[in-house]
Amino acid sequence: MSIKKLSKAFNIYSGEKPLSGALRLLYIGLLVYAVMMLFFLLMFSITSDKDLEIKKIGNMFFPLSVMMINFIAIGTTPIEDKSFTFAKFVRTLPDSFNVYKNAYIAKALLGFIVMIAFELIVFAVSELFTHHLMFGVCGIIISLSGIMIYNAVNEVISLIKNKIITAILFGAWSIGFMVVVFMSVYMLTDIVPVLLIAAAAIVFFVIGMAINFKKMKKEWVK
Amino acid sequence: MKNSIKLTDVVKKYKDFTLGEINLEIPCGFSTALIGSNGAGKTTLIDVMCRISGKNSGDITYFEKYKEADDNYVRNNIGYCASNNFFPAEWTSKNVAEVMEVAFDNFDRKKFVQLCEKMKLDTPDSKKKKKIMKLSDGNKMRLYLAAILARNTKFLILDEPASALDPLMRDMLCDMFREYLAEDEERSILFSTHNIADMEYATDYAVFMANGKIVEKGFVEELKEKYALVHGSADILSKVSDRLISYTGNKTMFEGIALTENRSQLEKYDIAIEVPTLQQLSVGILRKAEKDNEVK
Repeated sequence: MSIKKLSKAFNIYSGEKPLSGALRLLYIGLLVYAVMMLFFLLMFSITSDKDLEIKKIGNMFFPLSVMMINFIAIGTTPIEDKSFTFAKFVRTLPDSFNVYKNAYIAKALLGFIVMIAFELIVFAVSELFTHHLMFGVCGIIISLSGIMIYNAVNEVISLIKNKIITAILFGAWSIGFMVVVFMSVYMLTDIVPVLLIAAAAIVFFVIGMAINFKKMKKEWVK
Repeated sequence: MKNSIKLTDVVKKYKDFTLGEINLEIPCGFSTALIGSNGAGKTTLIDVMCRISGKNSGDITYFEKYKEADDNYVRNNIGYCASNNFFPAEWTSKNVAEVMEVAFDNFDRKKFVQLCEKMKLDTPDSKKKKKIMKLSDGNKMRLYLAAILARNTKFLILDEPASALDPLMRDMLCDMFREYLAEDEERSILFSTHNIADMEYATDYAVFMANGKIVEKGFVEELKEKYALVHGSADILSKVSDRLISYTGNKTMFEGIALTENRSQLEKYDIAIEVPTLQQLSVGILRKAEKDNEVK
């Protein structure tokens, strides 16, 4: 598995080079975050305790924006389902399943890199110009770990064939996940449990990836 | 004669449809039309050939020696194109060129640009490039074809390439098929269609499908010798109908297809016997297949 292969696979699946894909993703993330912040800055500029409100809003949008980047990152590799006609193109490529696997890994890595870059930019801008964020490195690690766990559990949920049950589980899990991540980001400040969460997230990510590959391999030969 | 692909006893089963058993050889150096009505199994057969779908049983051999479609030689030398949504809707010709370049070693960007210009499409270098979603169905197919024809392949497998094209473009497509075959004698083309009239000029070999099975196949010239087009006044129909494999008619006249081996018996009556066009042959053969299926 080389960077070149990952880059090639990402290009095939997304139609753009990884760097332009990453920049586009970062641009969208920052733009949405800035628009949201601007809106609430204007809204709370008329309140008496505006500093506190802005601080709250800024902190709330931070993990939300990270999650949004993750969703967009998934969107940059549009097809993982053979029922889409584009999958026929993918299926007829030389070494097609490995291209798929590499695209999956490339997508995940790129998503994480963009999320870290986004977090660092927002963190720096917030600290310098607007407000102090209520969390530091621990919060960043938790939000990233949360995304990894979230995706892995989604892979497990996708194995259920009943679409109604899948939809209910997906909804409940998404809401529950967001609550837990928000709480953890603000409450956990000790590095040891945070590192344990990060380690668990890596295990979850690998399991989720293995489930996805197994599921897709079946699709490939069906 | 060499084959580009050979299928032996291939069966693909779905809940409500079964393809096969299919025994078929696509000859090298020619353009083959896969003809059948909607739902006959043309796309399923193509999907099985390209290993987009797996088969339940049977063997497929590519280029006379490869058993796996996923072999890199096979993948690099087959140019496959689906009938629609082959590339994501938000892509432009630039995305297509970039992806084809990284995906296939034998993609020629210069040729792609030339083909785009020839087919009046945005080139990858055009300042303003339309997204695929903004293109008409015909232009989408032109773009797919430009992408496939820009690769140096040995075998094109095209699913309904002509359906969305205007008559002029269909004519151009026939010429492109001829040029493609002329460049290398080991090349061949398989395309599916249910509208053969405009593609007759590009068809050397024809395979007729109905209800998941192959009902007839052969070189067009041989099929035209094997079958004859018969037409005459309606009052004669009752006398010759048992000699016709299929026919249609009204109160005044009838038209049908017969085997030429029955020519001498048919000539006793006041009817015209002519060489059929591929379109007339298709209608006759497929009508018979439908009738046989109804009897079953």
